[in-house]
Amino acid sequence: MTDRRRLYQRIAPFYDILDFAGEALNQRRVRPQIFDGLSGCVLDAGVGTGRNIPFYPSTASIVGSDLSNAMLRRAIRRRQRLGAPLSIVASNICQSPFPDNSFDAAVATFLFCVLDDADQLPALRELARICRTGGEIRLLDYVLPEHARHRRSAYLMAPLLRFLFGASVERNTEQYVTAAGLTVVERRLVAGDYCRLLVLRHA
Amino acid sequence: MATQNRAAVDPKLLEILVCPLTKGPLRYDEAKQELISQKAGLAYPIRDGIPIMLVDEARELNPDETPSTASG
Repeated sequence: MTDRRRLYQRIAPFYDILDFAGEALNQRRVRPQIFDGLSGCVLDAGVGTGRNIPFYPSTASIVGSDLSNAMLRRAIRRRQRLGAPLSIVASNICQSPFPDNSFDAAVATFLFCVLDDADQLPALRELARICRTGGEIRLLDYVLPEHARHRRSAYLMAPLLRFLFGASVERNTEQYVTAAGLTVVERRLVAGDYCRLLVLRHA
Repeated sequence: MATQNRAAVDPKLLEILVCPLTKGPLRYDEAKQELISQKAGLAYPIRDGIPIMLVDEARELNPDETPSTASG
């Protein structure tokens, strides 16, 4: 946990540059879809440098949380530039500073592919706790592609992704969904087969 | 010193945040720019207007900072 915080504190100044290729290839096309139709009070867990800010729906007020306040300082600058309704707090998704049922929905883009295997279940449980019953939890992550050629290139990229972002395409997030008291209502591959959108609700 | 960032704290956050450890209420110390969890005995700093709600980053309260009515 602290290692991940240290990593993101360190790469915050360069994050948007490091992440440029991923953003240009996939993420910019995918990010708008994940906020579709959400309203009320919405958590953007792992808000990072605020890459989702341009896609926040006008019907929602957003709370953005991230482990690294160095990343969040960049999110604040982006918020000022774009004038978005975003409140920002540094917190650990496995031990969050929110009461039960405080959000109408929660979104996490490219967070669970960064969380260690041991943090997957605690993070899902925490999202289940702070999201009201009936509210959607939407997770967007890099996954291991199904197409053989894509899979080979994903394996080639894996050491670099791990080194730069602590990310992995082999997190088994889905296997913890039931234990967290949640159920999968939608599973969809987006941006070819590199990214997966998971929509969860309370079981 | 600590008052420089006073204007930047988001009032909406002050309303909803709880202690990440105890899920109990927090008291906003405007002068020190801290969010106090009496129950956990911890003070969470606010830096550059960002509440840092991480147990590792929190300051342990001194015994004389704990009020006699332990309500928090």
